[in-house]
Amino acid sequence: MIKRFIFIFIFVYFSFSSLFATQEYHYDVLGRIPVLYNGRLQPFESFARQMLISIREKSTIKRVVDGKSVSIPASMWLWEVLTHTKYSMADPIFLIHDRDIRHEFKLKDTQKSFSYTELEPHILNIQSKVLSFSTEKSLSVYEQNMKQLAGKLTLYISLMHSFIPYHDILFYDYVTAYHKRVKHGLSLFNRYNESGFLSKEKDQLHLIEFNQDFKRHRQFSDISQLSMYPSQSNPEDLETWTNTGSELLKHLDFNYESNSVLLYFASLTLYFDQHNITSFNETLDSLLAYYDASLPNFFNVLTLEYYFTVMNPFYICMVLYVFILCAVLLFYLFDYAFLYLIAKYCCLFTFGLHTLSLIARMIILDRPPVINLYSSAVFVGWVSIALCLLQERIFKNKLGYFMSSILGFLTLIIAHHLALQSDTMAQMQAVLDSNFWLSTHVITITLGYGGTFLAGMIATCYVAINILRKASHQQNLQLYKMVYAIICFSLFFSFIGTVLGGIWADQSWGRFWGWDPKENGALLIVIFNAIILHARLAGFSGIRGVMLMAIFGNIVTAFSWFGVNMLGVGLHSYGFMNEAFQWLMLYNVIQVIIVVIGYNFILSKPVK
Amino acid sequence: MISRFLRFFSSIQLALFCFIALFIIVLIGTFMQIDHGIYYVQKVYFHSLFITIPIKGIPIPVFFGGTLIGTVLVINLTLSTILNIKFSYKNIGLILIHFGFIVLLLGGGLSSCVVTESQVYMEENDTTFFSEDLYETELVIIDASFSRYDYIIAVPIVDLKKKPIIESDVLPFSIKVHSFYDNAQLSLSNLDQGVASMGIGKNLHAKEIPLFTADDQKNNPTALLSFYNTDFVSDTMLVSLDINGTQKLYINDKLYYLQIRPKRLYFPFQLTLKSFDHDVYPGSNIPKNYSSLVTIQAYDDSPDRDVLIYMNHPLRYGYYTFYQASFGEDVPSSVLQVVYNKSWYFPYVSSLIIALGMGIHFFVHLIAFLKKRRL
Repeated sequence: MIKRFIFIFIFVYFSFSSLFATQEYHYDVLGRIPVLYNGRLQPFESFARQMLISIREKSTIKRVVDGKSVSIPASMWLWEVLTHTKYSMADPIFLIHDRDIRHEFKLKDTQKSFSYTELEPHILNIQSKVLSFSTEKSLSVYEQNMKQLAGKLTLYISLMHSFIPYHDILFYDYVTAYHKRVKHGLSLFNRYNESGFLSKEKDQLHLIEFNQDFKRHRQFSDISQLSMYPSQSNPEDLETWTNTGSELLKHLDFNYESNSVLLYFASLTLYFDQHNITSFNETLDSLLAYYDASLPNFFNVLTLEYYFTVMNPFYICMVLYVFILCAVLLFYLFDYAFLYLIAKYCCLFTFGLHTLSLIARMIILDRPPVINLYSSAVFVGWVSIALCLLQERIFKNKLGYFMSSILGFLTLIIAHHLALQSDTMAQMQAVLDSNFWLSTHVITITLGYGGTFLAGMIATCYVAINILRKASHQQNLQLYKMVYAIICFSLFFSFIGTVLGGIWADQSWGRFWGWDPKENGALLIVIFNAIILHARLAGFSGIRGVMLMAIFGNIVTAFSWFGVNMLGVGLHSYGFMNEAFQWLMLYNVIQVIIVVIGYNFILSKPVK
Repeated sequence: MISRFLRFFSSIQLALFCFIALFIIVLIGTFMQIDHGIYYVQKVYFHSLFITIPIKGIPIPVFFGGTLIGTVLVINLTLSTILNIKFSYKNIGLILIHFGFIVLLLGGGLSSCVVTESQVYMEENDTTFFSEDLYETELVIIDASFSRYDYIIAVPIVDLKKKPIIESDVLPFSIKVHSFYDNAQLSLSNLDQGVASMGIGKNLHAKEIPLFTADDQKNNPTALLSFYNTDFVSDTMLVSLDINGTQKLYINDKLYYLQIRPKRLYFPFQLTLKSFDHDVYPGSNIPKNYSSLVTIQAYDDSPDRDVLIYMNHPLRYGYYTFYQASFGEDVPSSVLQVVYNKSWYFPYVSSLIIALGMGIHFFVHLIAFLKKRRL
């Protein structure tokens, strides 16, 4: 199953990009090497991109080589950071938008991005400033920016101290020298412990050096968050993976045989330093082959994740949805049938890719599709498009692909921006770690979100059609029926989802309902859908009324999906985001404007 | 007259009105949690007849509270189901939905009255037989003169607030309340210039401060009391939650200990924390799981048993539910939230009925819709 997926992905990948055709070092192989970071075994490429996003706020990086600006693979950038090359230190990756900060450190006002080398003299100053900020008051914009910069610098420095302890000596030389002196040092240490003294001065010096090695490696094993070395006896047990410091400490055991992965990595640093590209690539191939053999349960999934990361299929989907939107709009304008056909088949293809990518994510993470805000955006889009396509099959009113493309684009661009804020595949907090509830409660509630957004979308189309040209009553009635069906659908699923959430809460917190903001948000959707259905039943609203309420439903759903997270309170306090607040408000204002326009320009008509 | 009354209370307009009112209070109740704790918000917005704003100390109702809306909705749902919905096979789903909601609302109302939430803090190898309420407190009077047990009388803190004099057959003396503050700040005074004339209050000032509403701040109920019986009147004593430990009180040369402490909920069993574990994902600091291994020793004949309480897996024992809430940083210790709820099955039953009803209702309509299209 996984193999088939990898095959499909590699195929699609190569049909889309030829990114590595001209490179000398095989960074694509390096990108597939597994590392353990933040509790998750991941390909080097994923780790590299995540670090780039955290520091540069983008998953790509460009560098000026021979006067030309070329984009370099994330793996290459990270490898150079880990091995302390001077190129990586000169990469302008620290974005400083805040003029005050630039002026304060007398940085050039003509540029916005600065390199580590440029910022290095100010690091202590920046860190001490951040430490002096009050923790009780909310921070000013300047303080927030300063804090963010300090965080990025800290992460960068910690990366430099993740793999290699010192950069004044080549890691390969360091390891080989250490291997030689550790056994002798250990015997000297034992002798000293037994007799209380060492007679030769040479031995004394050796012992001091041995002690320093020990201290340094202890410290290094505490600092480094990056576990790169599996245990030789049981590489699949992630608990036994170690970082460089702990790996070197293991040599204090007389019988310990050097970890072959450590030797591979040490050789890589040597060949990299010597610009010996052939040997570098050969070593990488052997290292990858080693992992292929020693991690039978993880390797395929890691390969899949590598191609998934490099290809970034959701981004491709987003671009395709824009293309479809253009095609449909052109069709509406000029009425060429082939444009509609292009849009149709392109939409079906994109939806297929969207689906495939969702499944790939599920395989990679071994989780249901929705585990965080990012994946909920992807899934909400998927659900609403699926419903849209289903309705297009039933009603055939040539709106399906238009709405799909808008919904697809909007949800995926939200996802794209969420992905720039945190690792989208990060491990889950303890209370969420339950695949059963993630696949029941979270899925149903997200189905509800998707449905309400689709209803709002159809209603928006209704307003647009009626404003642009007089729509027939028949046409409006059809749209009305679509909205009604979708509202029933979302009422059903948001209710079930809310109840399942209640049951989960009862199971894990001991109470079914606690008026927590996220719970209230879900309840609001249920009540609002009930209001629409009862207003229709009571005869308060005809076609227009239901449609306008459905548009207002967009605001309700957006509030319960994102808004409550921005309040920053409650038990569900995970996945917070403040920057999106303005966007949310803009979205709400647009919805209100549409409602007002619809109310003023469309005549209310009874359903029958 | 009656028919008009029935028509009003069974009308769909009233239902719609209730929904909108509910929508509004849920929205306000959510926003209010930015500044106030969840306990306060529940009490003021959801578990109340009216939402009130105090103007010069007099609470003025400004909107309907959750309890009132819920009650009206129950009446409305019941009457409209009986009077307005035809009993036919097509409406089975609808009837089930409405019936389910009646049960859900009744259950919700009931549970807001009968549920008690409390916490237990235990270090490893600690044994306990009670939990402490997070919000409510009580004044305890302890008579330690018995050899094998203490005789403890607990006075609910509301009594101190509402009654100027507390008299009871179980009390060995009467209590006079000179002053009571829901929340007070204690500060040191000069020697013997405090508010009370005996106990630690001799050296303390007590200043009334507004009630805290955030969840992370604890109110400090404080009272100035004196004690008397037929032939004895004592000095005044300051009791307060912030005063740790007990204060001594001699009445006719008999010694009593007094203290305000969190209200205790006694279990019909003993609970021992054998071990607490805190797992992280490999190579990271991200918590993966917290778990407490506890032993339950019931006071009846049932045998002892060991239970592992961990994330998403609470311990249910009778109507008690123990779940992993937090843990201590310094020593291996665990904080268990204890919920005593006799109505926990209400939401389960009602949700099942509603979900079934919705399923049937929408399915019937979908079939009808598809049939119509095919014709």
